[in-house]
Amino acid sequence: MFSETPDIVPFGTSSRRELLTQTQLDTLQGGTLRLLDEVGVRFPSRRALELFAEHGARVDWEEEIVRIPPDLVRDAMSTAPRSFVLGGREERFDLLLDGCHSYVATDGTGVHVVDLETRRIRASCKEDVAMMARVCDALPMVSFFWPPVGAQDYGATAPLHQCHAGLTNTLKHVRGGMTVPPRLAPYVVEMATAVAGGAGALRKRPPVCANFCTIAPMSQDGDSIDNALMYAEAGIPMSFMAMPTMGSTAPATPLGALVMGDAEVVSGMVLVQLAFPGAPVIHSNLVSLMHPRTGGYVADVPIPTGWISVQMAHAWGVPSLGGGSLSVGSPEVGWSAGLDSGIGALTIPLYGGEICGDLGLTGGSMILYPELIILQHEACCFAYELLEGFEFDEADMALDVIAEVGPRGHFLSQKHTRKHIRDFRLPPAEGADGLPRDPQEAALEEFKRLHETHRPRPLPDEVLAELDRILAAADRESEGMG
Amino acid sequence: MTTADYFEKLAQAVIVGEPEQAEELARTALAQGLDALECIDRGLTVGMKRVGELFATGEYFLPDLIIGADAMKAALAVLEPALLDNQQRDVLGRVVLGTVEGDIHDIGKTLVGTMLTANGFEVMDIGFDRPAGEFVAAVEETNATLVGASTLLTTTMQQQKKIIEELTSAGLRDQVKVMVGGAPTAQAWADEIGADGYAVDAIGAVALARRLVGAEPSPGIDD
Ligand code: B12
Repeated sequence: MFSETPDIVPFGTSSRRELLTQTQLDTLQGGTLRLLDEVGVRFPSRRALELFAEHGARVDWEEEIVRIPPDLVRDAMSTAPRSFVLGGREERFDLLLDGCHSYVATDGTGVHVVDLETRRIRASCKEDVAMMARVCDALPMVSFFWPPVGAQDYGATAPLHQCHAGLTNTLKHVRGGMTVPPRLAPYVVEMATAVAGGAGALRKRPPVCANFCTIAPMSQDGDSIDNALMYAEAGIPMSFMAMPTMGSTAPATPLGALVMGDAEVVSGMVLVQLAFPGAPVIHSNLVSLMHPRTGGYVADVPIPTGWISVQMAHAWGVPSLGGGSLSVGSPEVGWSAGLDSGIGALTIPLYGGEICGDLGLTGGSMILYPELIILQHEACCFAYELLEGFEFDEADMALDVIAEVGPRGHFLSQKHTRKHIRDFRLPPAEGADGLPRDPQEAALEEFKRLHETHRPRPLPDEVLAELDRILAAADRESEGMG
Repeated sequence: MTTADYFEKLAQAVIVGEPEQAEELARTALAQGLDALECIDRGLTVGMKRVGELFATGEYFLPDLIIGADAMKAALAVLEPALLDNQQRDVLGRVVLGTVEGDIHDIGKTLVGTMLTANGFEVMDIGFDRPAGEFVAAVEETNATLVGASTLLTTTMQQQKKIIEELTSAGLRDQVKVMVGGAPTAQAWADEIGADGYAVDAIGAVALARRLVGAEPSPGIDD
C-alpha cells in the first residue's frame, strides 16, 4: 500500500509588496551593466570564452575575464523566458514559475545530522536524504525538494546519489543537479530523462533542476559553467546563485553586495542565453554578512537584501530563487530558530520570490535537525492562513445568531457554534488533552510518525532499474577517475 | 625623530592599519641607519600585539586585525631583506597554508592565515584549489614546520589525507605537523587520517599551532 501525496500549496501574490521604486531598480541595473562592461567576470572555461568572443564581448584570454557590453547583456537577457515549469512526478506537483506563486523549498546541502534516535550529531548519508524526501512528500507546503544534506557514504558521486534519493522518495520536483565533475554531469541528465520518460518530456516538465554558485567577487567556477552549458542543452533549468558575503567576498554595504552578486548571476545567464536562447534560467542572489569578530557566515541579518534580490530578478525578466527565508543561523532549535522561522515565513508572500523558504537546516545551512522541518512547515501554514487563507463571506457576520443570543447570553449552545467551531486549526504543539507540550518534542513525534508511515508511490519498476543502472555506471566511471 | 620615535611610529602604523605608511616608515628608518631587527621587535611586533589586545577586548573588529597584519607585512617586506646574516626575526613557526584541490572556499583559510600571522607565525598562503603536491613543494621550499589544510566540502575531504600521504612519501612527514580544518572536518577525522590536530575556528587554529610548536601557553588564546 502506498500513501497519497497531498497537493502542493504555494503562496499567492495578494500580500506582495515592492520595496524599491522603478528608478532605484534602474540605478541598480545600471550598476550591474557597468560592472559587466568595465570590471568583467572571470570565466575559467575555454568554451565560455569562445562563445563570448563570438558574440562580441571583450575577452582577456590570459586572465580569462570577459567584459560584456550593455547591449549584449540586454539582448541576451531578452531571450530568457519569464515563466516556465519545473515538473513533478504528476502535473499537480508542477511548479509554475510565473511571478504569481511562491513555492516553499527545502535548504541544502548540509553536512551534519542530529540523529533521530541517538540525538547526537553525525555525518550525513544517503538514507538521510531519502528520509527527508519521504517526510517532505507528506508536507503540502513543501513544493521543491533540495536534498538537505550530502550523501557522504558515497565519494565523488555523492551529488548523483542525493538526486537519486530525492527522485525515488518524493513525487515533488528535485533540485538534483549539484556541482559534480563535468564527466559525471551527463548522468544527471540521464536520470532526469529516465524519470521524465524521454528527452522531449524532460524539456516540457523537467523533474530535476540544477544550481550553480558563482564565486564572489566577479568570478565563475569552470566546472559549473561547463555543466551549465550541458544542462541547458538538455533542457534542464538552472539557477545561478551568488553568495556575496559583505566584508569578505563583497563590499560591506548591502547595495554593493547586491549589485555585484547580480552582475555575477547575470553573466552566467547571459552565457547560457548566447549558447541556447530561451533556455530556462533562474536568478538567485543570497547576500550574507561576515561576522565582524569571528568571520563566521551570517545569513540572517535584518536587512531586506532577499526582498531586493527578488525585485532585481524580476527586473531582468526571470524568476527568482530566494526571497523570504526561514534559514536558521543558530546551531540549535531554540528561540532564535523560532524567530528566524516565524519572521521568515511571513516574508515569503511579502517578497514574492518564486522559490524560497530554505527549510530544514540550522547553523547556517550546515546541520539537519529532522524535526525542524515540521516546525517550519507549521510556521509556513500559519503565515499562509494569516495572509492567504482568509475568505470574506458576509453571512459569517452571523448577525442573526447575535440577535438570537441577545445581550448577556452565551453562544455555547448555538448550532452555529457547533458547526463553525470546527473551522479552526489549532497549533499542533498540543497534546490530545489540549495541554501545551514542548513544541520540539511534539514535532519530533510527528516527524517520526511520518517517517514510519508515509510511503510515497514508487517510480515504475523499469525506471527504478534504469536509475540503478545509471548510478552504477557513474560509480564505475568515478572510480576509474581515481 | 629619535630612534624611539621611529619604533613608536611603526607600532602606530600597525595599530591604525596603514600599510603604505608602515612601508614608508620602514624605508626611512633603514635610510637613517636603524637596525632592522630592532624595528621589527620594538616597532612592528609591539604594534601587532596591541592590535591583538584590542581585538580580544572587542574594541577592534576583524578588518582592523587584517589591515593591521597587512601593515606589518608591508613593513616586513622592507625590513627582512635588511636583516644581518646572524639575525633572524623571532617567529613561532613557519606555516604552509592552503585550501585543498577541488575546493574554492578560501575565506576561512585566509582568516586562519591572518590570525596566525598576527600571533607570531610566518605564513605562506598557497591559495585555494591546490593539489597535494603543491603543499609538499611549498614545505620543501620554505622549510616549514607546520602545514594547514582547509576544506569545506565533504567531497574534497580525502585530499587532506592525500597531503599527509604525499608528505610521507616525500620523506617530510617527520619535519612538519599537519593541521586540518573546515566545516565538515572534526577531531575524529583528524585522528582517522593521522593529522596532528584539528581546530574549529581561527582562534582555535592559533592555539593549536602554538601547542604543536611547543610554545608557552598564551592567556586569552590557550584557555
Ligand atoms: C560562502 C560559501 C561559499 C562561497 C565561497 C566564497 C569563498 N571565496 O570562499 C561560494 C559561493 C563560492 C561557494 C561555492 C560552493 N559551495 Co559553499 N559555502 C559557503 C558557506 C555559506 C560559508 C563558508 C564561509 O565562508 N564561512 C565563513 C568562514 C570564516 O568559516 P569557515 O570557512 O568554516 O572557516 C573557519 C573554520 O572552519 C576554521 N578553518 C577553516 N579552514 C581551516 C584550516 C585549518 C588548518 C584550521 C585549523 C581551521 C580551519 O577556521 C575558519 C575561521 O574561523 C558554507 C556554509 C557554511 N555555513 O559554512 C557553504 C558550503 C561549504 N558550500 C557548499 C557547497 C555545496 C558549495 C558548492 C559546491 C556549491 C555549488 N553547487 O556550486 C560550491 C563549491 C565549488 C567548489 N569547487 O569548491 C556546501 C558544502 C556541502 C557539502 N556537502 O560539502 C556548504 C556547507 C553550504 C551548503 N549547506 O550547501 N560557497
